[in-house]
Amino acid sequence: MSFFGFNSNLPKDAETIDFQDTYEGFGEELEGNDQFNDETFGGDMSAIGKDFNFGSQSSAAASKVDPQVSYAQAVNNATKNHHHMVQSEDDDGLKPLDSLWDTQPQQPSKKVLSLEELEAGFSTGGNSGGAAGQYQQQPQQPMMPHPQGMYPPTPYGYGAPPPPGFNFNGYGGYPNQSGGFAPPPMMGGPPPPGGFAPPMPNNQNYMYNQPSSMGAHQSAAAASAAAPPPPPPPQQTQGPLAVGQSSVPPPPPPPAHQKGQSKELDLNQFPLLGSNPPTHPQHPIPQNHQNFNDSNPAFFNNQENHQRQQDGNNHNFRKFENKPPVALTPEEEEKLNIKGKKLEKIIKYSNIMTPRDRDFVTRFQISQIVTDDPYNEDFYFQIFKAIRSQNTHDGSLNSIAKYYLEHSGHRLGGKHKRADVALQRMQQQVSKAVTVAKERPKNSQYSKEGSLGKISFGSGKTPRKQLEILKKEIKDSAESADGNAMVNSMLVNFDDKNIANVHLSKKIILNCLEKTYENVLKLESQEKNHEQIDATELWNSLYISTEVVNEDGERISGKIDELKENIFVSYLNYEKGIKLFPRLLRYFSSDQKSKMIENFFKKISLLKLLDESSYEYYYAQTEADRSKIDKKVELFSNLILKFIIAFISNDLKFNEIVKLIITLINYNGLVKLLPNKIGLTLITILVSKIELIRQDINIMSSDLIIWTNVYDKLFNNLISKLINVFPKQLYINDEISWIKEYGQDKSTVVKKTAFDDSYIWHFLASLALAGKLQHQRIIVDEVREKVFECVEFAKKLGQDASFKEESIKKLGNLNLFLNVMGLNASESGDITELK
Amino acid sequence: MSGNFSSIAASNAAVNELTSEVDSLYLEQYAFTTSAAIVGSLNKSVFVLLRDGRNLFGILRTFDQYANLVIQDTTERVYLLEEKQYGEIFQDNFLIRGENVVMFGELDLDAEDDHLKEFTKIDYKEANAKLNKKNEEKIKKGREHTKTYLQQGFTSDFSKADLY
Amino acid sequence: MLFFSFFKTLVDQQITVELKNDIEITGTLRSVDQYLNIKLENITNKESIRYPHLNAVKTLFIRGSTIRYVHLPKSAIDVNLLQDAARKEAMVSK
Repeated sequence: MSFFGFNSNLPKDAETIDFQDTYEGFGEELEGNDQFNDETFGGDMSAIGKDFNFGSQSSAAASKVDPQVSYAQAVNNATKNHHHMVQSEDDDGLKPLDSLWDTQPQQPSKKVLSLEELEAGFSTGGNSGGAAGQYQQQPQQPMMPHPQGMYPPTPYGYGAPPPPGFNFNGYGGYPNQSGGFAPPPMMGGPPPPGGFAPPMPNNQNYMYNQPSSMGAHQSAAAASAAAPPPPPPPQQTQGPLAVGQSSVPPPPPPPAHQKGQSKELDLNQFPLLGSNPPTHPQHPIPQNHQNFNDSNPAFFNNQENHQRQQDGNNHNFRKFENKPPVALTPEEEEKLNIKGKKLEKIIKYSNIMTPRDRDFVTRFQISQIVTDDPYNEDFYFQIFKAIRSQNTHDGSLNSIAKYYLEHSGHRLGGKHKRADVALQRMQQQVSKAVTVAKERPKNSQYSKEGSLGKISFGSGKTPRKQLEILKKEIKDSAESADGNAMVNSMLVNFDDKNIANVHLSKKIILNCLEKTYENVLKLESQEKNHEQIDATELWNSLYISTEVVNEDGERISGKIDELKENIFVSYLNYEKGIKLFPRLLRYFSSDQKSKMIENFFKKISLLKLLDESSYEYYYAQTEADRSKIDKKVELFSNLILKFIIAFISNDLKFNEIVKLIITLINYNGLVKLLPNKIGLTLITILVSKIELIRQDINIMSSDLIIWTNVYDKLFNNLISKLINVFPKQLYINDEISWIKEYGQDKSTVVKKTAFDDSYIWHFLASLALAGKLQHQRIIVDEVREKVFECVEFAKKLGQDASFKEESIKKLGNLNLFLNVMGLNASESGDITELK
Repeated sequence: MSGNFSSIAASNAAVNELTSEVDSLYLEQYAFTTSAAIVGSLNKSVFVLLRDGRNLFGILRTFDQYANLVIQDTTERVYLLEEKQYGEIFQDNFLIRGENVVMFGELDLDAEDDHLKEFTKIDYKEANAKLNKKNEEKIKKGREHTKTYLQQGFTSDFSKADLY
Repeated sequence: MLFFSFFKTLVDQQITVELKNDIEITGTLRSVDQYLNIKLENITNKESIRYPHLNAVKTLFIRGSTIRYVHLPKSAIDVNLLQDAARKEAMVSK
């Protein structure tokens, strides 16, 4: 045990060092005042020993220093003669209030005694007497000299003696809660003059345990320790004295202005509440004290002052400087009274949970979070294990401890850290597998399976349902929620007759989609880690390829073509499928992409969005539903349509595009593509791309023939349906002709834009361009009404100045179509031949 | 007059700021733990709401990572909201097992008793008896609630231990 | 750990916590832990009647097991990222 470095373990009868033996007698050679010799001080010695008053101008104070008197005695004297001493410090013109010192009966004896007790204690053990030593130069530390009786009888305040049990522990309560952050600088700092308790052991602990960030503060504290000892406010003097149990001696706060200035205590700084305003208005402190006359807030403030002095930040004091002292109403005093009582209670035990404890709790929790294997570091578990394994052997504590140290994975050792645990884990897994296997019910039943379902005969011991009806969709989804497994099992098990009509439920589609997502995420993280990427699983999860083989070696995907429904296209019926699409693309080759497009066009009629955005359905919806559809359409256009258009334009060759058109025709996709923007755009891009190629001189004549045929076929499928490319009421009905944007309140129209019909005219234009005269004539015939309506609309639009541009645009769009056929619509509304 | 209070508040605030600065310095690395959340309230006047509906007011002295709390000098206060009454009893110190805590919060020393102005204080036993009666009603209703929901195929998370 | 990480990104946001006893408390999220205990600051409680002493409370620690809902501001959340994180988490736990 070490107490302040005192080694109590030495045997009492150890050899003591005899002073006389080691004394070499140098001391006898010294003359009287040799300590002030030339070597040391050199020169004038008159001021030595007298010039301790580094702050004040006069040396009057210096005369008060009496090196013969012990510190304690000096204090004693001070308590008796304080007012005399103070009065002699006249330099700043400050005069102590007479009322302070004369009227109240003094009870110095009580104080002095306890002080002496403390002194006695400190001189033996205290090693922070070093700091106290500083104060020896300022013997007139009249902190003491505020005996209880001096204060006017304000309720629980400056005046009243602190109630018993009042512990100035926190010296301002709350600061102590943080484990003494604020206090330590104070405590480590200027120890209270007048021989206040040196920092108690607790505080030492605080200082040890403070994180290094505290170091800065501590050095600041040390710095302040070097500063002139600040006189504490009166209460503080009573604290340790009255209670004598403070573990944190309240450090006196230095008045802000005293840095480097007079070190004498200026009692004028502590005028009492209700008394006259301080004679010297310069000092912020007095104001402060006045304002916080009673209760601990004064401490807070003083502590604050101390802190701020350290920080060099005094601006807060300015605030308080000019407020005149105000007497508190009894109720406010009562409030402060109550609050003070509460604070007192709080402060009393504020050191129960040391910073070390808090740190421990935090660290422990974190270690539990980040650990790989909680059992490895669990002390209880390891010891328990040790005990159990030892119970056949000696079972002594030592061997248990040894076992723990060797086998556990705790941070201080454990060579078998991981191996042990790995072995354990494996054993656990094995035993788990064994128990699971044991618990699995034996199949002692006789079962028969037919086309209607499964009939099984259970034994008496394990009664089961007699009949199990096979659902058409899923054979046994209880085993796996894996969509892929479901689909695979379906495709394998169903015979060809039924397979076409298999309904892929939402559940299956979404399950498969999630599997695809998993694959994408895996690939993405692999990419991030610069690992090898294998996209085959991802590709398989799309169910596009015809090469997919399941575990049993059976070809599955061939059957996918036979399904009426399609998994890949169904993905695009869901927002998350649409969102996934662009992320997929980067992992596929051009070949795979064209397969995707092919599949897409084949089953395009499954795309629900086409139905939802087709005019008839769309305009029958409510405003809210329409905006939902709009959002979907926008999402689709941005993420998917863009890709398809780009791909068709750039990557597909002539025959591939022709193939796509044929696919559309054969699979009856066309009819769904006409009455909505998405579909129409798709057809447009196909046709116009081919036109582009056709206009290329190098095209083969055989291709031309093919195209002519295909075009004919296409056209035949479109005849009499062309009018469907327009919303029926377009140009007639304002509701449709205009897209209104509503303001915040959803009722006022903020913006009106005309329906964008450009895509429609584009389609008609490309269709007309790719066709011959007879085709064009038919087209014109079918859409004639709409052409006129459009012209009318544009004309009306043009008359309104704000929509002039729109009107021009409208005409331009129309003319895209008309120009192909050699016609042109003018602003005046005439359709004439194109010049 | 206001000078006093504002300056007291300022000093309090400054001190609290200092302590929270410290805490944050201290626990910067440990930001998202239970202890990080609780340590700021140490040695402060807190109220704790328990799962059985009790309100405890006291000084938080120690805690651990499970939010077990040691509250010193607790008063248990029973509020009767309809009758605008309350009853108190001083309970000394409590060690509360964390699982029973619904929430706890730091009380502002100045304002913690303000709301009591609108209540009349009655005897604790009486208040407690009234509260128990109300709780019995609650439990009855809860049981019926559970029954109806279960009949309809829904679950109900009513528990007679949770009366907060 | 997903929602622990998720809540960590929401520190300093205004959220409303709805407890299992139906009361709602609004405040700024200050801290969260692995049990999804929540620490709120600057409490405003529309139901101060039920807990009259809440008026004097500035910081509140709410135990995760008593929370039913946490109402979050839409702008503070990236839904797609959250979905992907959930998928990854599901993959890990499978």
